[in-house]
Amino acid sequence: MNLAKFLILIVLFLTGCTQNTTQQYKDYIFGTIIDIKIYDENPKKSEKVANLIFNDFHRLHDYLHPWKPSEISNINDAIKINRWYQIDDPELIEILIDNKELSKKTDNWFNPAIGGLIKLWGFHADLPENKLPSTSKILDYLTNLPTMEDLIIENKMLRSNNKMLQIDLGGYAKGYALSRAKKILLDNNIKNALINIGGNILAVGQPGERFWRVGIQHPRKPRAMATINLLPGWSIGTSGDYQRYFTINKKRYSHLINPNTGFPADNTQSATVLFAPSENSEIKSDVYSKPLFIAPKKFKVELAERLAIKNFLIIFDDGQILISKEMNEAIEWIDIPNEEVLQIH
Amino acid sequence: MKKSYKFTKLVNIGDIVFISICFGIILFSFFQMINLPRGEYIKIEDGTHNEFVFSLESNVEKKIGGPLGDTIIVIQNNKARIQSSPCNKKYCIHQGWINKINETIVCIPNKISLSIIGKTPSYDSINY
Repeated sequence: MNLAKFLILIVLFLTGCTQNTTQQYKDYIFGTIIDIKIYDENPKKSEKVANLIFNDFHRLHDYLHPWKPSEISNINDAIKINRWYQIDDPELIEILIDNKELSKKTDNWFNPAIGGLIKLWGFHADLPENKLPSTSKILDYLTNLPTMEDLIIENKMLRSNNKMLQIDLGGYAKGYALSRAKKILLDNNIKNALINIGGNILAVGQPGERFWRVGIQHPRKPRAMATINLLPGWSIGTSGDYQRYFTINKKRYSHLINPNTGFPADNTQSATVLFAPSENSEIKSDVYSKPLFIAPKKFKVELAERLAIKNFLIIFDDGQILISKEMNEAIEWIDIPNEEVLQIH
Repeated sequence: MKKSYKFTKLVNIGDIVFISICFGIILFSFFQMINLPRGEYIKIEDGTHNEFVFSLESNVEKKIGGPLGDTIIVIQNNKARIQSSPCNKKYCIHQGWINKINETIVCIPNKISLSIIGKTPSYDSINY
């Protein structure tokens, strides 16, 4: 055995020792943690692509922010004084048209026109303001409840006849950001990654032989209540009353406000939806958890059927669980109170 | 005619070096493994991508700086919690003790996160 053979053997031996690694990148954007995992890629390339995604998210955050100076807050200011507003950016027009369609499809259970109501409840701040608005103010607001139908878009011009209309894309932005991240990853030829934007997750490819595995947060404990494999292209989103909320006299008031009552929805602790890859599935995985959270219990199943949400998991206020058949087959429970609370649809 | 091989022809100096290195690596890995502290670990991350990992068996108090000030994390009796935080709502403190793999406490205002990690994580990310 000469030296060359010996070196080749050593290299082969060491190659056998190498592991496919996952690079992880984190940033704080949209008031939450963004976590990007990239599997089996050159670290320099991974870092570059993660930064491209973070930069795009910063752009979206500054551009869509509902209460800090942004393109959306400029639109809201123009609507308040009944003025036309010119939008030069086709991306924003597309976003607004998409929001109009989504709110129509959900019978306005997803209503991004109620920024004024969210502000009234003190959620237009980095931290909730911890005070109840007066009931008369809420009732007053409901007499002229704005919806996205009140938003008129003609070519590049935008206005509304309802001065109460204030756009808040908080229920849409993370899903949209996921779809942007997917595009950036694919454009840069990254095949296997997991993107988590404040709990909304998209799987791109898979880490080796196995699938990406995701925990689903227990709404009342600091850990996962279940785990699920997120297949390539699938996305998952949850609306919960445990992230942004305040309590007064032991009652919890979350940021998920029922547009029909004017009060935070209190029939549910969390609603999780899972979507297979399709057009705008990342956006649906963010948006469609809202109607399932907010709508009264008796409407939830019908709403899920109408919106073609095959995989859903809802934890009601009393801990009862409503889960679709497909989701029940895919999920692995870690912490289920007892089987009796499980209702499979 | 039966061939006869001399030991030195079958195994030369390179083979001996190679085999010795293999044995060395195996022995080194074995001692590394038995020297690893048992139990699980706590991973603390701050907003500037610094990561700190401590064994849950260490009884210590750690001060981690964030944009609002210092967050104090206590590790005691195989569990960890945030003892004090400069954030407004103190949700992170109210989460209490964590000790199971993947249990996480995040203080978004002060950009600090704590998570319990094991040698093999049971999932890659958490949906919330």
